[in-house]
Amino acid sequence: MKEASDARIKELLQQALPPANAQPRRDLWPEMLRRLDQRAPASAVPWFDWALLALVAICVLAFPHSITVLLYYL
Amino acid sequence: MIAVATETRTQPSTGESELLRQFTADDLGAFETLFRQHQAQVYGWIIRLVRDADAAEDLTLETFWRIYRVRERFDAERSFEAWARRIATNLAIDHLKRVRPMESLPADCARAEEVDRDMQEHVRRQTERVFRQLPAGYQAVATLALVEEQSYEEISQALGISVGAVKSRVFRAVRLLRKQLKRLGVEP
Repeated sequence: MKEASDARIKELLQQALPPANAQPRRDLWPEMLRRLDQRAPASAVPWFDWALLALVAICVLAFPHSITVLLYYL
Repeated sequence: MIAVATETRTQPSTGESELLRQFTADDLGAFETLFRQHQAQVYGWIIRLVRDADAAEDLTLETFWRIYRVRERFDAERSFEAWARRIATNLAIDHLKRVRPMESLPADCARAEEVDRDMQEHVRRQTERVFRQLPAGYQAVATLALVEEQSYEEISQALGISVGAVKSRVFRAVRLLRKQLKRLGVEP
């Protein structure tokens, strides 16, 4: 009884969902190239470099005397 | 017992491994070759899930964009196809979550027969409507298992879950569908 009901659900779903055309309508590579150009990162600086820079800026703001130490090491 | 998701690690051929290595080394030509080799498969998989050609094209591009973005992390000894399918499935499920049904189910849908004169068409529409009300993850497994008749193994690999979890989702999806269809007067 339950199997028959499950089979009926399956049949209903197969009728309800239109068959999908498995092939793309066009070559998507030109669009992919456009997307790659649009989304190319503005700079190649890794995130941890930015984090380090932010840390240094915070240290300088919190402890202005550290500027001299920083300049010494640069 | 804890079911563990298994992933078939189809070893790429030597030529494909070389191509994948070039791709991970930021070779755009290698990426184009991979794109052209796999775009139809990725699109075909996505459209089975979302049933919308425009959305499937966009999600195919998004899949390849994500693949390209994390190319350095890809292991060239693993299956590119399985990796692409996993990303495509996740994107398709996210899409299904965003595209909610246009209307909520009115309680007296079953009595709206003047709208759907043809009974078969009425049942078809009610089924589709009820199906689109399911959570996105259930829609995905139900489409793949019941409509596209993919194996549980294949679905588990694409979703990154165990075969047991796939069976459980299919069971719950069918139970929800049956309950909602009964509520609308469609006796499955």
